[in-house]
Amino acid sequence: MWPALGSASQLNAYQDAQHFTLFEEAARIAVARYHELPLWDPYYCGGIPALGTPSARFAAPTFILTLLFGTLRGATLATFAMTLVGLEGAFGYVRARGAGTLAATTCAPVFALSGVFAHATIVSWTNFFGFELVPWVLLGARLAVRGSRRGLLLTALSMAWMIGFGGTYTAPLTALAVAFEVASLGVVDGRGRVAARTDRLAGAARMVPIVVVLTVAVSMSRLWPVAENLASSPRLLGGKPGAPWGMVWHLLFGDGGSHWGKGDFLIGLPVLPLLAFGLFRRRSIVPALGAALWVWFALGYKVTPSIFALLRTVPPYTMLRAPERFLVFVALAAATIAALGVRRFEIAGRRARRFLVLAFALHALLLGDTVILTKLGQLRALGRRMDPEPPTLDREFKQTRGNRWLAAYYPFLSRGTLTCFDDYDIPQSPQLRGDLPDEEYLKDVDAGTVRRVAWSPDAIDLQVDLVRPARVYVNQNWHPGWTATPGAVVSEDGLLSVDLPAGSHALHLRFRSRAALAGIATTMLALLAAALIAWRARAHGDTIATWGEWLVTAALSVFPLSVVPLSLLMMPEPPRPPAPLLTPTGESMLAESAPEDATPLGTRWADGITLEAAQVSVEPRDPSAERFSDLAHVELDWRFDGPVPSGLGVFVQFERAGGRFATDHILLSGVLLPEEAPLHVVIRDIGDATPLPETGVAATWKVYAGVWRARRDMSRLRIVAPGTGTADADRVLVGTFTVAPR
Amino acid sequence: MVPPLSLRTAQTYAGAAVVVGALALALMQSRPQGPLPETHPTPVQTAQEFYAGAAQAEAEARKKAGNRFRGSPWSQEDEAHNKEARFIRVQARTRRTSVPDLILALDRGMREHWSTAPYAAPSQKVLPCRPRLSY
Repeated sequence: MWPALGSASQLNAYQDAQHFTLFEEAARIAVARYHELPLWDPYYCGGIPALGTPSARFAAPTFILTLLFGTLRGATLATFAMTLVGLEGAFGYVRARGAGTLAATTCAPVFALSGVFAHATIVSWTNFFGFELVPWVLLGARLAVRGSRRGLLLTALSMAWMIGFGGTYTAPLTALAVAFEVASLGVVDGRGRVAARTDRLAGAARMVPIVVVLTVAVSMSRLWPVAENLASSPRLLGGKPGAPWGMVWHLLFGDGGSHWGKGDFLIGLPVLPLLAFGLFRRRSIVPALGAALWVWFALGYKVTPSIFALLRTVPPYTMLRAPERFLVFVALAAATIAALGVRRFEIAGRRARRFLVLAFALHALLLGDTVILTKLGQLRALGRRMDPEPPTLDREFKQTRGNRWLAAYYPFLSRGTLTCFDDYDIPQSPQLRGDLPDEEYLKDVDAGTVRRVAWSPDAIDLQVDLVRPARVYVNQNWHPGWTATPGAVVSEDGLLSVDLPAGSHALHLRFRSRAALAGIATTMLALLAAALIAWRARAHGDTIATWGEWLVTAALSVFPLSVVPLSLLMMPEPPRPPAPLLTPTGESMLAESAPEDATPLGTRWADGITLEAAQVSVEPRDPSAERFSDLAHVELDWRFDGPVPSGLGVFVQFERAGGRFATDHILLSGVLLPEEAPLHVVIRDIGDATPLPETGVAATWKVYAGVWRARRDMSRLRIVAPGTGTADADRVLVGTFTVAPR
Repeated sequence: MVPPLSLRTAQTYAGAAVVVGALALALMQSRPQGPLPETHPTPVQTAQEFYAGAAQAEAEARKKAGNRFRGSPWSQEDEAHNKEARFIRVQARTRRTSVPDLILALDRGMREHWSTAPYAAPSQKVLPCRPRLSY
């Protein structure tokens, strides 16, 4: 990490670094400059809920490094601190699995310095360092199942830290690792002998619910806003990701040749002989089975049957796309098995000196592996393209059109970037503009004046003088957490707006999201409950020995969650309205029958899906109207007569002599999931205009459409009756057109 | 009389000393290498030349992006912005200025509607984030 620390105050130019840095800097500005909680982030996409941003990492103890040393330096220091945490955690976990002190020390880097963290450095995925907490979570789970209060706290607080540190992989994947760890404790004893441990199973049945409840309570400041955000804007992912066997090997042990020291999940070749020795120990059965399970997950869709494909049918795992990330658990299992392998010779060395020599040789091998992993970390850090630290301009906030590939610069310059990226569809008003003279304005300019009095991310104060009732517009996204005094907050096409009567008004807009505020209150209460549980562990002993103690611990864990129903009663907040069922041209998506000018087809697929009609048209190129290519428009008129399976999408294929291309979409007319569509009506599905390639000659295009399992195994749905359409390969011809030479 | 340290306590102190030492070294190593940067407003004529060049480059980038990401307007726009970011970095090097200065010039040009070549005025439309199904 030394080279990374040397450039800590510079900005990684990689695209993902841009928005991750922006999220942290926006939170830092809210706290350090405006002295308020980072609830609303106006710097990205026209405004997003800060705590509801899945990848933001400021709701974790490492945020103090950001506040003390700035966002850029704080990020690198956070990764350094997390690495130390990971080393200590791996040491403790491996020790708990039966390894000796020295072996646990030399094996800890196999996990804590493994390639995943080097890779996270080059792409600035700082929140991936949350995986450094995995051994702590598992260690806590092992203790908790035995009735330990410290174990309960360790798991709950480590998971909460991980969740607060952001990212959509660390916590969901670690939850699976905890499930495996707990299950294994019930069927394998401490020495690795397979035996049903009814005491452990009973312990798990008693303690797991408390662990889950306390974890949820401590994490509520993040879980609720993120869940609310993703429920209204789910992450829609397709594809059949997976890493074939060869790639899994390369990821763990390098690419071979001169690259054996480089792999995105590298644990290093020197570990292999230790794994061979360790696998012969009974204690290694569970970690070895675990490693096999995680490799199976990592293979994704490249193996049959695919356990990852099964997992992707279960929320929230429907939002995962990179199964190779399960290999991080293989690194921990490898560290454990390797340490057990060395331990075998350390014990044998008590009887014969030659085994001791062999044990030292294995330790030397592990030190060599640590050198390789450290070297990889250095290479990855030096491989980054770094920009100088942006200057800070503290001035009046304005939105710009912006650029997501340079997003990190904007909050430093007191600007927001309206163009943005995240892995989910962000609710963004199409009315946002990056060239307004004032960010708060009236469209009815004769109705009066608006003047900004004070501004911060969560609070906007305006002086509004109106000669007649009017609507005040704020150049940010609407969210149900915005309130206004006086007046009523409304969403106009997703834009934050306030209706006011005539007169002179001191208008106070505040972002007070219920999910964020009640979530923070729950977290605070849960931390208090955790402190009380820790005090009881000190005063009455660590182990929960009686049902009375269990009830007290359970009550302390559950109590903070009472904030949730209370807030639902006492903090009314309008729900986010569903997207209006309108086509991109503003017409209703729902109709009794297909438009008259559409071509009737009546093509039926399995599961009661019918393409009633379709129409295809072409809009010729016109640079004066910002139309630089011929544009094809396709309308598909669907009818669903039975429950539509989830995970479907629509594909559209354009074919001409000598060329073809395809487009696809999940949301009908860009707003409606097929499985949520109403039944027995015509649903007009009008896609985005498709630019046609310039061929130099006149070209006749045929357009086909079909239905596929886009978010599952990507297979096509079977056509059961073609109707009047021409069908082949489970697709139907929906139109033909000819374009002039371009 | 001070009781002797147990081995475990000594190990704990030694471990804590190692961690504190590592953190101190990390703090030292992460110090900024020079003074904090400042912005230097680009001269108006230079900024306007840059803006016209950026607008021209954007029009070409949008056309290419339209062919690369058919049927996905957000992806087309995102690709055009990727090209814009590269253009800004290259210009910052060749004009011996900084990326933030050029971002500010671009922002000012859009607000003040500086002149560009025909059909090359930067689009003010911002398409809501609708990422692709797979990458």
